[in-house]
Amino acid sequence: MNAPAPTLLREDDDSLVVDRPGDFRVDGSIYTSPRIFQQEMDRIFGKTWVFVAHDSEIANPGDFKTAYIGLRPVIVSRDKDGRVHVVLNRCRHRAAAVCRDLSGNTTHFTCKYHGWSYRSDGSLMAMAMHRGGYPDDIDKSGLGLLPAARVDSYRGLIFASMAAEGPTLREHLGPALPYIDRLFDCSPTGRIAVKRGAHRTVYRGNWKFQAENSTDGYHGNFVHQSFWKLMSQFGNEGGQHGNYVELDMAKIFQRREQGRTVGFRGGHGLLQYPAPEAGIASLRNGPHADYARAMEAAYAPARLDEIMPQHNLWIFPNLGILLDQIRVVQPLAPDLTEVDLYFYDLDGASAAYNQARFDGYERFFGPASFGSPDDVEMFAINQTGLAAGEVKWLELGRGLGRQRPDGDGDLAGHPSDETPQRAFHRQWTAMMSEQQ
Amino acid sequence: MMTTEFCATQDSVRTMSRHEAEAWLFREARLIDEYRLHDWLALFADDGLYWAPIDDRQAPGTTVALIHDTSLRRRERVYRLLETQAHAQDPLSRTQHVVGNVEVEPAGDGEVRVFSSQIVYEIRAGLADYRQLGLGEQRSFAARCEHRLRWQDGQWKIALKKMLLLNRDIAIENLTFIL
Repeated sequence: MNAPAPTLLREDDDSLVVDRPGDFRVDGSIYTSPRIFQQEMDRIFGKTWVFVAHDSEIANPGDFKTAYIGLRPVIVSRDKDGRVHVVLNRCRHRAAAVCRDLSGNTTHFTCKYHGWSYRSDGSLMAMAMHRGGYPDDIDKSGLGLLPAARVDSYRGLIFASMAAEGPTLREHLGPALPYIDRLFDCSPTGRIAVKRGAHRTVYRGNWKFQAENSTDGYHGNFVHQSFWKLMSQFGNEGGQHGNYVELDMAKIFQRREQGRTVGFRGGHGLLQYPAPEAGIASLRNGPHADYARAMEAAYAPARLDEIMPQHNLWIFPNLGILLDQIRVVQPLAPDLTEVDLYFYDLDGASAAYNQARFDGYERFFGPASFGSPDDVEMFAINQTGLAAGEVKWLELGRGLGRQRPDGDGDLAGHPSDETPQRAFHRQWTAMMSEQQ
Repeated sequence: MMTTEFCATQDSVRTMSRHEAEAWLFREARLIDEYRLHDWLALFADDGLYWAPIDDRQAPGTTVALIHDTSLRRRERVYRLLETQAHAQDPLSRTQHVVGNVEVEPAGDGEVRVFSSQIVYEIRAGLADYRQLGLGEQRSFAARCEHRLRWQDGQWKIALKKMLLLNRDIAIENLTFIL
């Protein structure tokens, strides 16, 4: 087959995303079309760097967890020598998934169907009842669990790419790298640990809605009015959300006017709100003075000023780091998405400080909490409205008139602007339009 | 050995018959289903915990749970349901609890443990357009339930309400109603 693959998203229309001065729109079908969804699984998830695990989830030799790259089931494992492997969870014999656990520790994976077994680095250990059925000298080296083409990590975040060629992980993360640093430098040692399990939720909407929303500073005043009212009534004793110390709705909304959004090259995005007025000093006289002291010992004052604001970071296509959690968006179907939230502890911070962070997380996040369920409700009503297909476009042009250059090709806007969402859709368009 | 309907006489410890435990659970279920949430709150001891764990081998509050409500968070939860416009509960969930398999065990310190199986049916409908995504679908949640009840001020108070959902460790939608 030498026929050229189509280069456009859709044969009859190459403008699913309109991006021109003063005008940014996306076609509703990118959230509904099964064909576009399948193309996303191939052209985006089948190529770019996709987050699969944090180091601390597979800390010891033999540890593993299962994950998905798009719809591909994979095993992320640490071999006996401590090396990390990402391999497809598919027996080379007749395709059965060889691992059925969420996580665990093992020396090998044995296929339930016909007993082929693989070491934790994915290599084929044995074919059951080998003699007579297969040549004695069969070359097993080509029959291991198929590895992802590339595996790399940054500050404990393990990514895999199914494409042998393409930008390195550091090139992909590019302008987002300093913000990963800021987030994890909230630990005095610069290390985080995922060790309290995960909230797993599912919603009836397209996966891109959660990707867009994680850096959306426009929705909060409306979607989370229930939470702000609750916070005004009960204060922060039950767990502080973000840097909000104000208990008055008007002052909460004032804080939400401060800060910025950034849309990065590569499709990443940032929503940033200011640090508490006194920065780290605000913690010095409170119950977490020990954390403040540890941070002041670890970092220079200018660095603390960079670390202390709230950073909601989105890494294209499906990883969020925000509000004390790693957030993984898992597309399941055009209108069905899983979101897994992994709270993380800060290494080197006191148990009391980590517990206070956990209290704040619990109050706002998870399927029965007071915050995130109101977000995913929006994604279901988005998906409901999309059935009215005569309205072709979703408007993502907020703030086009006031965004300004930030860095080398990045753009910054007001915290309520759709700057990060535009960056996401620019990268989405670039990858979906690539020559196959 | 006495089993479900034990009747301790030592230390003048107050006990509960299975019949009493059933009546108590039925009433709690009715308070929730009738949305009498302030009355439901009053069933709890001040230090009581309302807990729907994901991993119940871990102590409450150490790992992520579906629900981990101390007194303050329970009051916040009821306030959110009754006094705020929470989109995940607009429209509100209707619930119908079915309670069975009730057993009572002494727990020491003036407490009893009441075990039950509960099925919670839930739907968001009413005036809402039930045809929209996420609405109009009747869901059922099966739970192994443990109440630890304490005799206090002339009535049984909840020291612990633990709802161990069958589907606790898979991806789960909207659980913002009272289980």
